[in-house]
This record gives sequence, structure tokens and C-alpha cells, in this order.
Amino acid sequence: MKRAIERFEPALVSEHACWGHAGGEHFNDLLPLPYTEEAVEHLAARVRHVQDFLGRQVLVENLSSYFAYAASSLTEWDFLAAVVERSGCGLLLDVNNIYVNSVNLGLDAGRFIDCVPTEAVQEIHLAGHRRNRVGTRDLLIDDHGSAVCAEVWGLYRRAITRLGPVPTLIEWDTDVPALDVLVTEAFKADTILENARELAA
Amino acid sequence: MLRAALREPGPQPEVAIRQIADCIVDDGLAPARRLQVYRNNARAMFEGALERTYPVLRRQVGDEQFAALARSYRAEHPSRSGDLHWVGEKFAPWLAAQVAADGGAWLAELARLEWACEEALVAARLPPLAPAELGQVVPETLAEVGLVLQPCVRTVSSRFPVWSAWRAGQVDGAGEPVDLALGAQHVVVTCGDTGLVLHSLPEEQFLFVAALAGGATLGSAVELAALDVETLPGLLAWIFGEGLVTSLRIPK
Repeated sequence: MKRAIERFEPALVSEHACWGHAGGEHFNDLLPLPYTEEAVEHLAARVRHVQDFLGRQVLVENLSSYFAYAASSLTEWDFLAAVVERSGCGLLLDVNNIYVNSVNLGLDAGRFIDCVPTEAVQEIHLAGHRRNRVGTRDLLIDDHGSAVCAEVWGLYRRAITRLGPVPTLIEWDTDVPALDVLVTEAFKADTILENARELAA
Repeated sequence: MLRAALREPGPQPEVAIRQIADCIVDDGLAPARRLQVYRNNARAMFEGALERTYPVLRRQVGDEQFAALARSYRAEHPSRSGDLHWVGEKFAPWLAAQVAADGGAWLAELARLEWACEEALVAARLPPLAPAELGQVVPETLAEVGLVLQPCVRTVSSRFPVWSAWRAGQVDGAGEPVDLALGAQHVVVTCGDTGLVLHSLPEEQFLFVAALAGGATLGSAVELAALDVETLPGLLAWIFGEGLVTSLRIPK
């Protein structure tokens, strides 16, 4: 990764706040961490190690979760803020993931947006998700395979109002539609960002 | 415990899931159902990677049989890397052991060729060396010169017609029947600007390229391959013409 960064000189480098392997076995997926003081220390130490090795700051991205640990003692946003404080990393705020977690785990999406440390957020992700019905409940799956939903656009406006015009990426990498559909999605985000720039000017 | 819970269903993971349920918030949606999302994802990631690595084999055996093979293989060889490229590394030798008794050995050989293709696809491709560079070598030392081949060159020799099977499997749909009577084939795999290129060569020419790829000098490679030296200029012209050579290893 260090060699790739030196070669391509990306403006931002990010990774998810997750785990993916245990006992030598990889799941090639993004598994959630318990939101505890112990996990903050563990993740912050790992992030510091990566930043020291790469010689640059990295962004940590919040992820979609399908379960929460009973042991968690912090909210997800307090957990991320503590990791930022103890490692010096930035944040990549995935607004769709916040919405997915609000449905799957019952977290307060608006409060997440309102509480995340503003100065840390350097990039935003938007995406679509799949809605699965399980008994009487909905379980949202972060599949990057459809348009950004109205609720996520609403949260995005709230985020941009609070954070200012943060660089935004729309993730759509399964069931990719015609280019004009993608351009229309990007235009929606551009319009919201442009309004924020005008307000800031 | 969590590792076992994310594996495929079976007696042990089910016990693990009951144990891990205590660690997960139960808000009316069963923890086992929540874990199932990750189990499905892990399986889909693994099987998807294997499908992308072995598309020709999959067409030959059919989607259902391939999925069954993938599940059995994963149980013995779970992913050991964050890079899904490596998922299929041990599939060909594993398959050879599975199908040895029922006449399917050629399928394992086809898998061996497809793994060579996978390796070629992710290997570096360096600027090719112009053949004129070989002309600069003092003729008396030519036999001691080595040709350094592209990192993406792979060599696969099989007693089965794996090149023909691979070619037949390049179209969508069910795999074309393969005439095993075609016999042994010797394949040089490389990856150019437009993707994979597979060459089926006569055995002695294949052995010459394989010897070069193994680090032999030109003289040693000719001996190892029992190559008719009269065919050497044409073979070298082909090797250079395909852009397979990246540099010369000149003796000091």
C-alpha cells in the first residue's frame, strides 16, 4: 500500500473501522467492532501504527452493521470521535451506512450527523442499499446497487449544512446502470454542495 | 468462536452461533439471523472469487456442481488473505485429489491452467526488450546468456488437452465437449495489453521456454529441451516478437 500511495499520490487514504480476520482466517468482509474503551485503544493504536508507517494521515470510515454488541458502552459517533482524538486520523463519513445502521440497529442517524467531529470529516460517501424483510423487521444491506434513497439525501443535506462542502463520492458498483443515471445522481450531490459553497461565500 | 460462527452451517458453527448470541443485542431480530448476513457475505465473496478465477472449469462442470465444489473446498481451505486473489491458490491440487478416482483428472489440469492465467493477470508486465539487443552479444558467449522473461509468463504442461479446453470455454453458456483424445498440450501463458494470451507449443519448444523461465541460459535451455538448433532462430524471433523478454542476463 505504501508503494501504491507513493506511486499514485492520492489526496486521501481511508480504511473502514472494522475487523476482517481471526485465527488466520479471513472473511473478506467488514465486521463491526464493539464500541468500548478497549476497542478505541486497540483501533487507535492500529491507526497510529499505519499512519506512522505511511507517513501520512488516514481517514477512518464508519461501516454498515447488521448486529450490535451487547458489550458496547459508547455510541458509534463517540467511538469514532475517540479514535480521531487518540490517533490523529480523519473521518470518511458514509451517510448511507449511518442510515443503514439507523434501521438495522436503531441508532439515531440525525444525532450521528450532529455529533461527529466536524473538523475530522474530509470525505463523504453516499450509496444505495437493499431492503430485506425479515419477519416483521427490515434489514438493510449495503450493496451499492441502487440509487441513493430520499432519507439518505436528507441526511446528506444535514451533514453538508453542518460540515460545509465536503468532497463526496457516490458508490454504485453492483448492478451498475446507464451512465446518465449515474450522472444524474452525481448532479444531485453537486447541487447540494454548490448551495453549501454559495452559503459559505 | 466468532470465526466458527461465520463458517457454513453445520453442527459446530450452530453451537458457536448459540454461544455468540449472548454477545449480540437481541432486539427482536434473532442474533443468528443477523450473523447470517455475514455468513452469506463471506461465502459469496469466497465463491465469487473462485468463480472469477475458474470460469472455464465452471462452464465445464455447471454452476451447481461448481458451487458444491466451492463449498467443500472452502471448508478445507478458507480464505487466508484479505486479497481475494489468493482464494483459489490451492484449488487445482485440491480438485486433483477429489476427482482422481472418477476420471476427472483433466478437470484438475484445466484448473491448474486457469490458476496460471490468474497469476499472469495480476503479475507485472515490463517494457519488452528489442531483439536487436541480443545481436549486441558477442557470439562466443551467446550460449551463456540468459533471457529474463516477463513476470507474467507462466508455463503449464499437461497430459490432457487443456489449451483446447480453455479455448472452447471462452464462450458463454455450457462448456463445449472436449476431445480428450487430442492428448498432451504444453501451454505458455502471458498477459498483454488486451488480456490473456495462451500459446500451445510443440513439446521441445515449450521445454525451451520453460527452461528460460526457470533461469537457464540459452545453451542450457537448448540442451534441456533437446531442441533442434536449426529451429532456434525462429523460436527466438517468436519469443521476442511476443514481447516475452525484458532483459538479458549477461555472464561477467
